[in-house]
Amino acid sequence: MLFNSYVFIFAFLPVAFLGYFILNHYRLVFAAKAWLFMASLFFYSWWNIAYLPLLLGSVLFNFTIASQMNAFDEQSKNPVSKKALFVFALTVNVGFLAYFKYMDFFIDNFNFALGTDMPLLHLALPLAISFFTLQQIAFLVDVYEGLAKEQKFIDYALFVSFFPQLIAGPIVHHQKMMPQFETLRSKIINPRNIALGIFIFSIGLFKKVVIADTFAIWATESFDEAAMLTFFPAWGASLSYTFQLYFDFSGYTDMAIGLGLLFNIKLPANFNSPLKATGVVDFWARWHITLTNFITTYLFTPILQAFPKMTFRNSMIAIFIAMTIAGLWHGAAWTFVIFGMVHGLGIVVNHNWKKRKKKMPHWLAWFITFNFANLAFVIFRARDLGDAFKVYEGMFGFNGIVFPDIGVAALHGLTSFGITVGSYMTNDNNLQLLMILAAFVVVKFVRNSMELMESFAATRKAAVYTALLFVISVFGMSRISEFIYFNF
Amino acid sequence: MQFIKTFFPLAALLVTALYAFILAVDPYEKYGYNLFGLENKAVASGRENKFRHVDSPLNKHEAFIVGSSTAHRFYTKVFKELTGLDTYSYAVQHTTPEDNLAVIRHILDKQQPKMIFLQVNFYALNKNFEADNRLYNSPLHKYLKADTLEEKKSFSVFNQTYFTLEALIDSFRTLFANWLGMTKETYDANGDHVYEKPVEGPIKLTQFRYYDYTFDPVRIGYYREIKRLCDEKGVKLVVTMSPLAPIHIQKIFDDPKLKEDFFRFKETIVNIFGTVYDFANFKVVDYDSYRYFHNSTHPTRKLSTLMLQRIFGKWDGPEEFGARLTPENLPAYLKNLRKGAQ
Repeated sequence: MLFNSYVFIFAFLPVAFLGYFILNHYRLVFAAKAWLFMASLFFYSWWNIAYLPLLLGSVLFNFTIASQMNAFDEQSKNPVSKKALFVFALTVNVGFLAYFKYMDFFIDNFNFALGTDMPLLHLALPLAISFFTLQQIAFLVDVYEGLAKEQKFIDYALFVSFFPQLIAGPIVHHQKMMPQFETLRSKIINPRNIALGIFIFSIGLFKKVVIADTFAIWATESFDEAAMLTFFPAWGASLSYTFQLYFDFSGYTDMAIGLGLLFNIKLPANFNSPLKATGVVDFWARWHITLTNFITTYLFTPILQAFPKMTFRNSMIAIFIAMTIAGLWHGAAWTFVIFGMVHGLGIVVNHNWKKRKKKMPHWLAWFITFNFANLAFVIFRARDLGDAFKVYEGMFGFNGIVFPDIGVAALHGLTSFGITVGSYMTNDNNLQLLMILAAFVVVKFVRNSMELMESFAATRKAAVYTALLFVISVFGMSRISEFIYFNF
Repeated sequence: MQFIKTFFPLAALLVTALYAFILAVDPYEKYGYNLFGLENKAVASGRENKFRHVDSPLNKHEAFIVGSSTAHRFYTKVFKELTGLDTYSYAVQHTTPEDNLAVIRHILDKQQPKMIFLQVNFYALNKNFEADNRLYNSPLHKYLKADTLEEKKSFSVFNQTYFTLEALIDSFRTLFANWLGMTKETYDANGDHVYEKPVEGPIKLTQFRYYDYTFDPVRIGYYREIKRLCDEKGVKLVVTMSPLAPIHIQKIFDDPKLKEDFFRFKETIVNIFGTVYDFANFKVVDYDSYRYFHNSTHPTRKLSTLMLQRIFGKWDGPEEFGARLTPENLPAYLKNLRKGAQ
């Protein structure tokens, strides 16, 4: 079920919401949690019920392992056995992800490298597998280190499956989310949280349905024709995709946070105006924050600890390796691996720059970072590297430059330099240019959703703005449009 | 509580008001309302607007133009002059064979045509070029399944035609077009695309949609189904391949695999349809020095008119302009085209 669908907003959500609070009202706390868990399973199964056993199996397996690890703690048994259990669980989780997500990628590369002809499995990627597997790996690590404990199955199952964050995050930590379900305040309807939830949900819905889906049309059309993009359309393509991805994913996150608030659950922030960043390190501190935290805690740190010495050089190598793996996490393709490597390299360069304590004007730092992110997203979006390079050729003027005819006669004399005058944008559409300029203003100068949340007052004026955003978005929901991160 | 007490009634009120506005404009002529007395409907959603027109028992036509935006410049008036048939243009933007099949099924279901004129594009059989989402969001999607000719009712809580952002935008667009003369996306009563932008600047390479060109057997099947349906109903099917500007063809020929795919495409459609009028060759610009293309894939009204004259036998220009391909003359034609490329 999509957040941006009528069935979700007007049927599923009211029923899930009312059921949860009615049960809590009658002090049926367990039943309320069970209701929310069942509702989440229904939400997940709406896509394809065939994947439900996978989700349930994964939840059951990890809960059993975690319980066993806790039992080791309590009974003070041999810690080696606990470690063995942990390694086993980690292997199963990674293997589970590898099988469904990467098997064909491995086979394909194996065939290419060794000249064999092993048939591909063509497995369909179960929805949300990357997110719920990652979240559970984090939980297992926390349990292994004694930082988390969960004895009730229903609580654990709800932690993994809670529908606002099940499909594409934010990736939550057990100890941050589950205590919220235990407070008395979370069991009663909170009008302020409802107002804030509706407000932030409506912003997210508008970002997705009106902004991201509009950029999606231009991005798709342009990347489909990568081979023939001249200078301006190529930049139009890359910028359209950058804005599509940002508004799509941050829109999803806003909706997830808004939905969480309806149930009095505060989910972690996942975006903090990443396109305002003034360095690649800064970018990753603002973009998909919960994934960055996961990479830092569960990839970078163990890799660094594996080195004999903790030096600056080794930490840079660890960053590069961690970012490469993070790139691969996004999808089973070399474009994602290279996307991760490029960002890893960017972070390394950024750290080296910082180490040398060199200063750079703020605007220049922003300009370089934005363009770095924009250029890297071309690889992220392209179907293969060849396609990405075709877009780059256009962006760097190798396919010529067509200027709009603005009445400057001198431009007409520049044909020998590959510069011509005529229609200059995809579909000759000035709307694309206007939207790109507007998006620049929004991402650079407008307060982000988290900042708006902090200063939110549940006034009549806020209700009017929210209603406008919501109603326009509701009209846009008739389009079939999934979130980009559902593919990961 | 102030927020909640304001938000819900206001949201309901706004939804009602905007929906009433769309109904009053009736951009896709679904109900026949015209509260503002508008003369024509300016819509970007051709699949909606044209579907409603063809669906209505009040509108009857003898011939239909089917194709993508590259077929927008075939004007029904010219078509009628040449064929004597009252014609409607069911050309919609960005089509693939899925679209063509749905459109033709719809025509055959609701009208009794004598002729269907189908324009096909080279990119259409590429498996790696996806069908337009607007098809699936429009009422035409009901004609995608084989059994839908008999069973077309689908459940929907909301009216999916008018409860959309497109309908809202098209309603405003219609007002602007009628009151302010902004006619860019206006379709007239016969489905003709009214606005033709001026021809200017160098020809821009467009719609080079051949990424990893892979022939799609399913789409080939759709073309076969179109042929079978027309034969079964006794409808004359005239098929033409969209003209391409020389820079576009040259770019195709620069890639040896794509060049072979280009020839194979011609073979495939000739084998399916029997007779195909092909204007996707270098000869299309040899007629005179006039600028024939808006960009590398969209012919001007003048070129489209010349094509119709050539196809329907009222042609006094050079014989090599366009070609009437059949399985018999195809090998020789392709041989010449290869030579031309060299």
